[in-house]
Amino acid sequence: MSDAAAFDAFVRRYASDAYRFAFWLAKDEAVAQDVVQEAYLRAWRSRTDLRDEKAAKAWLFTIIRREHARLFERKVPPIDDIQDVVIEDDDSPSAHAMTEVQEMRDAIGRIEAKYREPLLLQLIGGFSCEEIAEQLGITAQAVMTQVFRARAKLKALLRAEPMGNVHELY
Amino acid sequence: MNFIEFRRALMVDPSEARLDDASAELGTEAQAALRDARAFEREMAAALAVPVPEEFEQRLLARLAQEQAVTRPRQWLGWAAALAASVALAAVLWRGAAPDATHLLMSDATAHLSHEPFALTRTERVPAPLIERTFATAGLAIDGQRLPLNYLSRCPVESRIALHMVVRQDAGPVTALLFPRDAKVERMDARMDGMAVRAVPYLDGALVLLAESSRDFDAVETELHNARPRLLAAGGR
Repeated sequence: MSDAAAFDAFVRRYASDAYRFAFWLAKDEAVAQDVVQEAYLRAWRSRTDLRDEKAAKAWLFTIIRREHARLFERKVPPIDDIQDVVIEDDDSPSAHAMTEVQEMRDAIGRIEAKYREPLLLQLIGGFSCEEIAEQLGITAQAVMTQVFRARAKLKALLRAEPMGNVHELY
Repeated sequence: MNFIEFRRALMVDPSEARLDDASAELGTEAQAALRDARAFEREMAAALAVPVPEEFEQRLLARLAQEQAVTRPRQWLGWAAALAASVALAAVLWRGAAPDATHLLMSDATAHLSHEPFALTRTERVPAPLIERTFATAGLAIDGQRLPLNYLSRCPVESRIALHMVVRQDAGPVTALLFPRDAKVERMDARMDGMAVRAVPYLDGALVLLAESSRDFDAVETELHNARPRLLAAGGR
């Protein structure tokens, strides 16, 4: 298999997750597409840097994070309020279910980025807390605290569960 | 694990397999908390799975083709082998062995779940006539009354067409992807991407079950067997 064919398989395997991760970082469809495209181009150009094939997805997500940060440093795109971003879903089963999904999306968009990003890596990337810690350059314990707080904040927003009742890790 | 540790673990990663046993030891309140936490995870997953723009993958590949055309091609066999293995990456991580047909199918099935998050949220029963008609389009006959489904559709899963079913059980929804033909697998249980996955030879193909816990897999297998699906003769509908 040639380099190009193998890399195409890599694109197909992770393109959807990569887009969704970039979308939730940028909260903008067009920016997310640009970020993922640039990330894949960078990945192609630096493909010899990948030493461990098992870390391919983590490597890609790290490039996406850095590309998003680089884009943000170059210019500050207008950040739409997530509530104004209309996400068309063709497979919505009912108006009630769509309202619940949109409420969850609104809530995810409202929690702080430092809590949202580890949660995205966990739920979209499927990474363990140890893998997330390696990507973010923090301890695994810190990651556990952040995803704990992300869930607590979401529940507080959606279910009016008081944050004060949640036991902290430490 | 005590109850406080259990509650903390629910807030860090409710998909962990060890929480199934822990909740069974801690009792009904813990089991209810686990169900609630995993239901919340499903809601989050459904919300996070925003639609991918149409033909996004094709545009990516086209742009990469331009880039690949202007850079000097290098035959790096180590990279090529690594990327070929990445197609079945989850299976490689679990077994530490070379991917095979069973692992590949389980991996494809796991990846497919992210395309239809709403399938796990349906509560209404699929009417028996609709089950029978949908199975017929896949070349199968079945008694729809014997199969309590909450979701059913025909879906492309990589290069195959599968019947995508969801059955609600006590421990949560179980997804069953039925590949009636041309899928050769060995019976195998695994965990992939935080989910319990089971592959079973079925009819002339395979059945892949996916859920947060494998607790109800035996029951779902039994329900499918009791519904007695059978292959129709070629050309039969």
